[in-house]
Amino acid sequence: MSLLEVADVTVRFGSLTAVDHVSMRLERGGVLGLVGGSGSGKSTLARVIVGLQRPTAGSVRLDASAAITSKGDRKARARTVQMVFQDPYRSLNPRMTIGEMLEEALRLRSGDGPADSERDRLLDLVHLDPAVADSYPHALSGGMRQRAAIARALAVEPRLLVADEITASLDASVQGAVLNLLRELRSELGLALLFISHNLATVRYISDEIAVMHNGRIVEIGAIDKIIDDPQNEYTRRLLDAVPPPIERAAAAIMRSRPSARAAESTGPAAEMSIDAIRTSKEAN
Amino acid sequence: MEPAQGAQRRRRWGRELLRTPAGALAASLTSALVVLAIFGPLVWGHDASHENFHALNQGVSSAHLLGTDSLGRDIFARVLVATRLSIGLAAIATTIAAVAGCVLGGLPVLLSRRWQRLASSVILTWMSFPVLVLALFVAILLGPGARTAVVALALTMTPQFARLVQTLAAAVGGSDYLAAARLLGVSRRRQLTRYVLPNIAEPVILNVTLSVGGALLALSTLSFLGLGVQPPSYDWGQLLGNALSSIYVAPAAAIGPAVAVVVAGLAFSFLGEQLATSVRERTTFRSSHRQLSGLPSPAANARAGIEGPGASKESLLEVDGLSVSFPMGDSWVSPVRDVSFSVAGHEIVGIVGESGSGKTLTALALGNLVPRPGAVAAARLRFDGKDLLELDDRALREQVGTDMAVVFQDSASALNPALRIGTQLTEVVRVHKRATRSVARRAALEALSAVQISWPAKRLRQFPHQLSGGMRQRVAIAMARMGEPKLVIADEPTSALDVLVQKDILDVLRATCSDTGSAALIVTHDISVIAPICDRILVMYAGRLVEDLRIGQLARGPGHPYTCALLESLPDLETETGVALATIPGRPPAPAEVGEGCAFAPRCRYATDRCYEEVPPLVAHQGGRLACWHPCEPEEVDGSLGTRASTIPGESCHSGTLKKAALDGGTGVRQ
Repeated sequence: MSLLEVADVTVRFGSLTAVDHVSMRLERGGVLGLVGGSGSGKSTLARVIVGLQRPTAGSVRLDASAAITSKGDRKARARTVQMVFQDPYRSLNPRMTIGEMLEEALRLRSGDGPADSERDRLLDLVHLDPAVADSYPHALSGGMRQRAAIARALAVEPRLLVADEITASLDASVQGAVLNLLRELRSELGLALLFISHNLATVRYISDEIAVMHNGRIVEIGAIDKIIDDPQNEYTRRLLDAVPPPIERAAAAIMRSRPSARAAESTGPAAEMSIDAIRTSKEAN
Repeated sequence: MEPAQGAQRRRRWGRELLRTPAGALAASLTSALVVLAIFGPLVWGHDASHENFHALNQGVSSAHLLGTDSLGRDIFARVLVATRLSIGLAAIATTIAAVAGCVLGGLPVLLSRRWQRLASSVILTWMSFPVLVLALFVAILLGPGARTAVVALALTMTPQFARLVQTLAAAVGGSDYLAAARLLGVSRRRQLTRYVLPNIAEPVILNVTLSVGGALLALSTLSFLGLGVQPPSYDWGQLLGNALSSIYVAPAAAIGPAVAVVVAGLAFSFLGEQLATSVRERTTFRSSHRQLSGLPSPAANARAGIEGPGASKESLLEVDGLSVSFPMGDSWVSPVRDVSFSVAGHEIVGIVGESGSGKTLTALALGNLVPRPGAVAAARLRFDGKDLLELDDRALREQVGTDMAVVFQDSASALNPALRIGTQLTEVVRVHKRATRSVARRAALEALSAVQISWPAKRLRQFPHQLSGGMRQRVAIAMARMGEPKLVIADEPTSALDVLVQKDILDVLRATCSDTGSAALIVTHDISVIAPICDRILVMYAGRLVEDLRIGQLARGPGHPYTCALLESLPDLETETGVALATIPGRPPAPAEVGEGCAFAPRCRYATDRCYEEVPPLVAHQGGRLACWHPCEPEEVDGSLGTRASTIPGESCHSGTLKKAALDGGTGVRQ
């Protein structure tokens, strides 16, 4: 039985069709990557799935219970699906401490005042120090805020987490840590993920299945390796081409293709220096 | 800059206000009025109500400063006593209006769109009723009196507050944090009290303060007309009304209450203005013109020359000991410190770093674009044979306008939305090269075709908003191209663009450089995106240049542990999916936190005591330059894998050891 079933969802804004007859399903504990360029409709689809946007047509079924469309039971939906947003600078209330924010979410799950231990367990889950609870968001770095946002989403113990470009606004050195965290959470909590990104390399790293979206439609969907190795759709191929090659290979390719770069390399002032010479020059400094 | 740093600074409202003379004056005037309102009736209450039939309608005397009224009561005392009722009623009316306005303007954000539209039209219709008409209407319904005046005033002020709150709340309503709260199932009441109201409080409070002055004036008007406060009670408006009949005989009786109304009205408006000013100033840098000690002097940083690649006589750009500093409190912080590099003609150089590394400020400093009150210092800043530090502003503008071109990240704000593309493109050559209209037009068409824009002739007539982001960035590059610059500085030129367009834009940038023979300096946070078009990469960390390497060296493996870790930390299409990604624990220090030693040391797995104590100098290394005491060594240097010269033998940055590095990152709290 599927955890998420999107059946023929269409979203129109005036004359613009943002999502065009999209259907997909996601099993418990599965990870579906949703890839597409800007304006492909992937964020709108995410908002429909979590209930922030009402579909013009079609339905979203969560946990095979009766269709929870826009009017469904908010609480039941909240415990099934949560979302983490792209920009952690905008997704945390600047006037609430991290602790207050998590306590509020925990209270919504259990009803009465949550224990501090619960809050600390959440922070621990996303590798944040318990001391962070007293900080306001502006005192935290982008990576820490995104962890806090993930902790808030996990507080109600959802079974599906929608991650909308959650690494796009983070620095390179912290993106990897957030991706690692998602993988950990998946194996520890059995969490299902809808991972939305424009970067196929990132999606490939984290997903089992992948859906490629273009102009509001899903143009290709299937197992990740199959699509990466043998893309059927032209748009998928273009997305794959846009992924920067591994850096060493890219650099080597430039060396081959640009004789000028090679020439400069060999005549560089320090190119002939031996390691010993470099050490000597360092000590001289 | 960090958004929303308000929380702890808000507590300093009061102190900030008192710092300026105008603010202190406004605060003391208002406090005096409030004190008078509280204690006035206790002190002068007797004089004000004491009827003295021996002193009816007296003029100004030392016993009666403003004379007496028809019942012999002292007018000066009455003016002082009336402070309580006048200010009190104004405050009550404003409070009622503010509360009603907050509910009417703030609540619909949490409801459905239909409610929002309804509230919006109610507010707009309501706003169109003038005060007097409404007051007369209310007076007919309720009969004249203080209550009528307050109700009428609150009724006219409510829609104004509602409109303000509605506009402010709409921004919060569209925010991701409110969306997240909705997803969690936070109740509507709590959404209003914990999410919407706290985030709009600042401007609303300012507006309320400003409005008290206006309310005072309006209430006095109503009383003056006889619609407001009725005898035996009295406020300033009523005193003025009573004195009007004998204004030619006893002008002081009218002047007293009139001055009181004006002074009190001004005091509250002044306070509101000063509060607003102090809030505005907090969001910008203060003390821009104050002389601060300890500005890092370029002489201290100066070194004999520039080492490393590109440092030759034909260098187009030579930067030595560049620092950019900003005043913070009573000292300076330097987000860019002691940066030295050079760019040869035709060379494409990338500057790579995380947010806060100083990469953008470095590029801006070259174009003389560092925002005020930043201070740029350098031992040497030569461009095309000219010393940029010695040129005056005008010469600098000339230089930057023609020989240097800048392409910004946000093409939407870099182009003037009100001018056609053609006008903006031809302006460059018409101003700097004094070309005729037709020559300029032909050049513009050529430039647009060169950046592969479809229908160039049609684009010339279009406005920036009619083009996509990628198109606009092409136009920005075409614009740079028109000036035939010797150096193109591009600040994150592709970060805001769709992934499919990024590569095209970089290709166009590269082609532009090879066509025009110009050099380029490309600032980016993503090394993998720009590596394919660069000849050389400069890596910045915490304001310093830590590595300067040729692209070939990048292929063999960089020397700085930070560069190595950056390359390892991002997945590509060949990354093994079963293994955790390499991460760099911790986070980069803020400019003010950079202390002794290598700034990367706390995050570096190879760091030793020396790294914490001495800043490693940027010295020649493997054909480039490197600032590290324990560099990684590239695999191919001597054929054998992983011969680290450091204390940890058998490990190289490509042997995958970093992959096992701590899973975490960034758990420290900034204090």
